[in-house]
Amino acid sequence: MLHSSTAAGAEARPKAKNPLLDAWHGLLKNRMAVVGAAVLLFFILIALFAEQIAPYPADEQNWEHILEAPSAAYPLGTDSYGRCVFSRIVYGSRISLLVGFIAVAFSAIGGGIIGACAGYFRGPLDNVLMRLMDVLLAIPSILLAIAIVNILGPSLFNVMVAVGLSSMPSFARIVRAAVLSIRDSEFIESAVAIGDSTPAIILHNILPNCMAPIIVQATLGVASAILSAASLSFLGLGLQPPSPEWGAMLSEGRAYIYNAPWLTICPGVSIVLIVLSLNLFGDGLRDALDPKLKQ
Amino acid sequence: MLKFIGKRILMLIPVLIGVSLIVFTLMQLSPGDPAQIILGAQAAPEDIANLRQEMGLNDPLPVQFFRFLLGIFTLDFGTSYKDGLPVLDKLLEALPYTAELTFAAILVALLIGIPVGIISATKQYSIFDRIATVGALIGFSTPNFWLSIMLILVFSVNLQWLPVSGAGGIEYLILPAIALGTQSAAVFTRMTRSSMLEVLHQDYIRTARAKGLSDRVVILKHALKNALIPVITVVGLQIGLLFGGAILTETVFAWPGVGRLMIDSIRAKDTPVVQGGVIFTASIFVFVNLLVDILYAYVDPRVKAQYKS
Repeated sequence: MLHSSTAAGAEARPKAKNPLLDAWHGLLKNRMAVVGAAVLLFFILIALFAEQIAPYPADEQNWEHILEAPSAAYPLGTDSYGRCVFSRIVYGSRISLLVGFIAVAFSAIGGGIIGACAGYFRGPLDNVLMRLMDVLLAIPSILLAIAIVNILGPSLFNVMVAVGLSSMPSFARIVRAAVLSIRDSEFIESAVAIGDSTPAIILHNILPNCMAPIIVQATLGVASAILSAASLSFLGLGLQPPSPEWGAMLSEGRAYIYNAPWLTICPGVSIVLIVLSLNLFGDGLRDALDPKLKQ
Repeated sequence: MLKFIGKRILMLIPVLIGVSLIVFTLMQLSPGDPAQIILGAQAAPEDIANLRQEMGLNDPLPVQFFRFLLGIFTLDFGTSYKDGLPVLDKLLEALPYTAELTFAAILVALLIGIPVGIISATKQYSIFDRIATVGALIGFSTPNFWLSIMLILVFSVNLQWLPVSGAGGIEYLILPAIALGTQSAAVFTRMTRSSMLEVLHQDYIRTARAKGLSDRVVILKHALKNALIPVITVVGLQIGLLFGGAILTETVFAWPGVGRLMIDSIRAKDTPVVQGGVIFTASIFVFVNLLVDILYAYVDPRVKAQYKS
């Protein structure tokens, strides 16, 4: 399906290269991207096996061990309720990854549909949809997310919706540009000529051919979604304590910055690491998938 | 050129109306009766009904939206539920602080990002370049609220060089400006580096070198001028983003700007201040982008040429 446009030219060239395989090799050669992927995988494994890894349940309070510095029993110390910071961070990785991936899935699907329609149909529909996206882009995304969460109320689901909505316009723009660049190709024309329905053409011919920019944007989007979600929780507008969300943990830990700095250092380092790994991986993907950037 | 500017200004109007519509819709959807919030939980139902009538809350929604829109275009954002002061006054009182912080942050970002980007590009794949590239990625991945706390931990709590929070002299501005500017510094570093690399490979640079000009002159006089053009666009975008990002920095440093005013108002359910703040910030964002577009047209002769004929 992906190569329907190149199939005709394949016999002229003796050995047609598989662009996906090419991209994969390019990605493996990029050391930074591999490091990013490894760190990301590490966090995903932690999230999957949180019960096995965390020495204590996330909200188990131990009043005899309040605000203890890191030790063998508590690798990253304890907080003001005597909860194990390490265990909370382990469980918190679930929340961050979940919010990041679901919010991006939401905005990629929503923005993708909007962008694909705008690019495919052009004309007035394109104008209306893209002006709407421009308006959403005019409101800084963190502000938009704050406004939405303010109405919906603070909860895991609402944070995902708010973060997803606020990043929808960038997906719409990218998909629209990609669709515009291929909608006049011959293989689209031939699909129209065969009599394929418009939704089928968009789904089977157009979208698979603009997956590269969508995948790149999605990877980088997960990074910024995790940041936004942590920001919202930090402001007290996202997940609420006692949830082990990293932003909420930071916000709680701020009060103890003088005597228990590990309460703010550890969740912050976790956020930076996971976001950094996604950015490294996303950058590598972009270099590998975008032939224009390849020298 | 005037035609270009005029066209761009006209294009702002639908965007601002759209922003107002979104904000108005969001506020309509938010729970809680404004009259109830103003009068408090113990208010008599008749008083609430009267106030609702007085505030025009019983009018059809399109009428209410039109009144809201009219208010915005006459710079009347309503009054605060909390203290009855005009929202615009509250915003204008906080604006200089946010503007000062944003300006300082952009300055920090430019002072770090552009030189580091230039050196990285001229010494591509050197140790400096590698450290700068990784540093930029880390800077880009660090949430500004956490960086704020870490800066306070190091410079205020441990070293005791700078105040923990508040606003006053320059010593109060240093940490928030660094915290807020770091992400932009990372963006500028990457932008300057890639744009400089592109320019350095062009023929006219080779010509300049062939003429025997020194590296310094070639880079600073010939290459930099063209390499900075794409950076300008990003500066505009960053100013807008910083206005949003300032919400978090201002909260950590108790900096009395627009962002903190909005967070306080959200907590107090002071809807007019929140909606005024969102529209205000979005307007600044689009205006800054307009200015950048004009500046861009001014420095890039190709854009100017399009509108000359």
